[in-house]
Amino acid sequence: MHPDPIVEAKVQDLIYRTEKYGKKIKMRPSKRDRSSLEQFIKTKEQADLFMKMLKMA
Amino acid sequence: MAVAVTIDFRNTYQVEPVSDDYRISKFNTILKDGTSEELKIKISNNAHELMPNVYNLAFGPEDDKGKINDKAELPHTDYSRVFSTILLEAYTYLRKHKTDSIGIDGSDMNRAILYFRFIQKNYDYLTGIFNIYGLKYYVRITRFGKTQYQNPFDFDDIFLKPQLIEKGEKINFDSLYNYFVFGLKEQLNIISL
Repeated sequence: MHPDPIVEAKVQDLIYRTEKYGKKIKMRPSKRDRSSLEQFIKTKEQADLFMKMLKMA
Repeated sequence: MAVAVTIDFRNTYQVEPVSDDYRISKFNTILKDGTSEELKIKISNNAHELMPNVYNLAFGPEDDKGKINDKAELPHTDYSRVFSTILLEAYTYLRKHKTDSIGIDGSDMNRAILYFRFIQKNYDYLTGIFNIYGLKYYVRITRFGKTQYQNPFDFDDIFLKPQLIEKGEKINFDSLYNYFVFGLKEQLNIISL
C-alpha cells in the first residue's frame, strides 16, 4: 500500500478500471534484443570506431 | 532536454488502461503549442534476457504501425506530470506483479543522463517505494593487437553489474549506467541474474 492515501486511491482506481475495461491482448514477443551490443554494431567500421573510442577512454 | 522534473504521484494525467494485464496503457499529454498528444506505455511481456524478472517499459507516441517511438522528443507543458504518470503506471504494475521489476532503457547518453538526474533529484520520494538499480553493460574484448580477431567483441560473455543507486552518487557520465531497474521496496526485491 502506498503511504499517501490519495496516491493509494489513484492506484486502486487504476486497478479497478484496468480489470473492468482492460482487454485481453496477446502481445507478440519483441524482436528487439536489448541484451547485447550486437544490435548497434553491425559493420566492421562501427566495430573499429568503437574500438578506437575504447582505446581513447 | 534540460528540464527539472519533480516526481509526484498526486500530479498525474488520467491513464486509460488498454490491456487487462497492466502492460499496455495510454494517456494524453499537453504540448507547449496547446495540442494534445497520446502517449502509450508498454511493459514487455518478455523478461530481459539476462535478468529473468525484469520487464522493459517503453513509452512514447505511436507511429503509423502502432509501434512506440521511444526516440520522440516532445515539448511537454509539464514534464513532471508526464514522468509521474509513467512511474505511477509502473508502480501499479508492480503492485500486481510483485516479483517483477521494471527496466527503463537509457537508450543513448542524453537519456541516460536525464534519467539519472531524475532519480537523483527525486531520490527520497522514489526510494520510499522503489529499490532502484543502475546497470552497466560490459562486453569482453577477445583480443587487442595485431592478432585481433575480426570481431573483437564476445557478445556471449556480457557481464551485468546491478548497483543500488545511492543518494548524491557522483558518477562520470562516460561510465554512466545505461539501464535502470525499479523494484518494489516492500518486496525486498533482489534482481536475479
